[in-house]
Amino acid sequence: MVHGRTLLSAGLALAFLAVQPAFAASEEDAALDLAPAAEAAPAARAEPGLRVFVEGTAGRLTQRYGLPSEDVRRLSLDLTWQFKPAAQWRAVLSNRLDDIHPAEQGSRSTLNSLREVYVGWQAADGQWAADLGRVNLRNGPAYGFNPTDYFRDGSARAVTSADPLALRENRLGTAMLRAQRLWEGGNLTLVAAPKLRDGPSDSSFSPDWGATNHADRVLMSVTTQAGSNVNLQGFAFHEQGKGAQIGASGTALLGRSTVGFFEWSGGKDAELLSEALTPSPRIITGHRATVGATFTLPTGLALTAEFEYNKFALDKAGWNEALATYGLEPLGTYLFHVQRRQDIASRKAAMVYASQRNAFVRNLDLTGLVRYNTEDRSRFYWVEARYHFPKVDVALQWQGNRGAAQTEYGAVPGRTLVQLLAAVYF
Amino acid sequence: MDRSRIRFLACMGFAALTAWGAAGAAPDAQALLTASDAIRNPSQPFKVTVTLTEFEKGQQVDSTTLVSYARTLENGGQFATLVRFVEPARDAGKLMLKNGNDLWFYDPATKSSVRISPQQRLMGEAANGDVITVALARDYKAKYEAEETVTDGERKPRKAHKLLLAAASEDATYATVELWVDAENRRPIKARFLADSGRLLKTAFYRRFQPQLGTERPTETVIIDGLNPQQVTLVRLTDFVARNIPPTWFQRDFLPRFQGE
Repeated sequence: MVHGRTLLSAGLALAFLAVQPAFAASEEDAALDLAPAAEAAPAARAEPGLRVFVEGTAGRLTQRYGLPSEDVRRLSLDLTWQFKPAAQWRAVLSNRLDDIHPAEQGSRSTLNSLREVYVGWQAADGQWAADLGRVNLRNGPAYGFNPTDYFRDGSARAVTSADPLALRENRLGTAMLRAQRLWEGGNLTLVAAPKLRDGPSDSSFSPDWGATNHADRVLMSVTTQAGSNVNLQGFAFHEQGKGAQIGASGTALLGRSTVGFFEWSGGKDAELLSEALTPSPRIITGHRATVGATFTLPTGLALTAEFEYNKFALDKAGWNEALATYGLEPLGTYLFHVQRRQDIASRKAAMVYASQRNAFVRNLDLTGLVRYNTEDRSRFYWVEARYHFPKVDVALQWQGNRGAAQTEYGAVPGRTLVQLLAAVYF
Repeated sequence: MDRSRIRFLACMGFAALTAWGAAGAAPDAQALLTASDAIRNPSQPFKVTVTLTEFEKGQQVDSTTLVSYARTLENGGQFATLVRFVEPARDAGKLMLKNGNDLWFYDPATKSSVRISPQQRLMGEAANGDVITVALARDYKAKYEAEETVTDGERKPRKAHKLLLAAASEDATYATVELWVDAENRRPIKARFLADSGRLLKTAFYRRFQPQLGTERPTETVIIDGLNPQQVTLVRLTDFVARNIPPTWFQRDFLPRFQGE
């Protein structure tokens, strides 16, 4: 009987194999009949100079310390316009208007971020380029913490999302003169960013030059290709009143599905606690570093793991000592200061970032993030499900701060936030 | 020397002569591949508009428009490609750069350049590998398989050389490619792209040959997913123009400056 069943199965399998080419051929035939619904209109193919989108969120925040839950909402208008006033020249204007309720402590509910306004020139032979104005210059291949991103300090004017990539969307550029010498596979870049104001402004429509240009700074960077798989960048940076730092970053392709990266910066900088709480911060010599990798599974799930180190932030003993000396509230000021500086608040931290495009259904993207303070074991979680319609994105986001009382994430008043987001692209 | 040994040596000599004769008769597979590459890709630096239309079960589900700039690299003859997204609006201005083993994705909203692996997909299903100009002859070793009649993208039977391409560089996206090249004019007709395991990843038909930059080139590729043949992408190439953008622009640090030319 078993023998007969086996024969029957084998027969069915053979029959299936026999008809499979016919199926395959008909599927190929059907594919060859397909044509786009409409030919792309020439206007639609024009390269974009103006990009505008409007984004709104509405959600509910639950809080600690007996504080009531509250409704939160945000409306943002995001605009980027670039054009060529003449051959080899370009002009860029990038601006974002955020209306956030309730406003962060010490911040206005309506905040305009003049992110970029500059003119750029490039030689026709591609060997020289220069820019003058407010330029959003971002360095570093890491996802969550970029020690070589020397102009990150003060660049976050309004914190609208904890997604480490989206956080940079409202980042302010720095007023600078940038000159670049390019060759095949590398370049040398010089940046001079002068001091324009003493400190940041909380005025709604201020260009806030003081947030990004509060000290004279210079940066030199060299990028080179070290072999076919490795890309390296070296930095020398000086900030008036603090001192010099040198740094390096690199990326390497490790097989077909893994990219490894590292960033390191060492030298003189302010100790973050003393900078947050005292008018004359203590300058010390130390290092910041990030090392990580992104691995992509055959399903398309991309996983990034990152380990972060910051000598200028508090370790466990330093946190406990500060807690005993100052109490919890000044540590809140410390955490807010660290966030403004786009730094990390603990000596050591880890981050995992995962993203899956077309998860379960087409046009649905799932993204998740965990930040882990390895000193006090507190965690920050962020998850997003985002569906793309042709001109509209709709997303559901959940984020949570978890950990024991009096830890980095356990002490934050906001415990859990659930919000809906809609973005319309024009 | 005993007789059996003489017989053995004679047999070996005959086999070697036969193999040489057969090899001599078959067309040069690598030359066919190079000729087919030259039809797919202009030899001079160029700019082309690429429209990707994705279908599922016969229904159009997505469309992406990009402008691609490609030029051959001085070392090795592979292409460097700089791709600028035009549509949909949410992706406008995003860039993808492929230069040797370097694959970068730049988002103007975050100003971040993320290095990605060949496996990683940051845009639509077909975006990475299929919009990048590739000289197959550089990344694959071709072996002549047979002369066959194959149905082309217009459903016409064509006499073709079937080539079996084996990955010969780290750059190669696929382990194996079966390629049918028109016996008459060396045009690429059809390709099947296979994984290490032998699994079919996708089938491509090259069609709508039109005069572009000096010769008749395929202006549309129909890509059928190997696992789910109901998933089809049409890659349509329009507005071919010779455009020589400087080779120094094909690097990560130039991406924030690149505005399209």
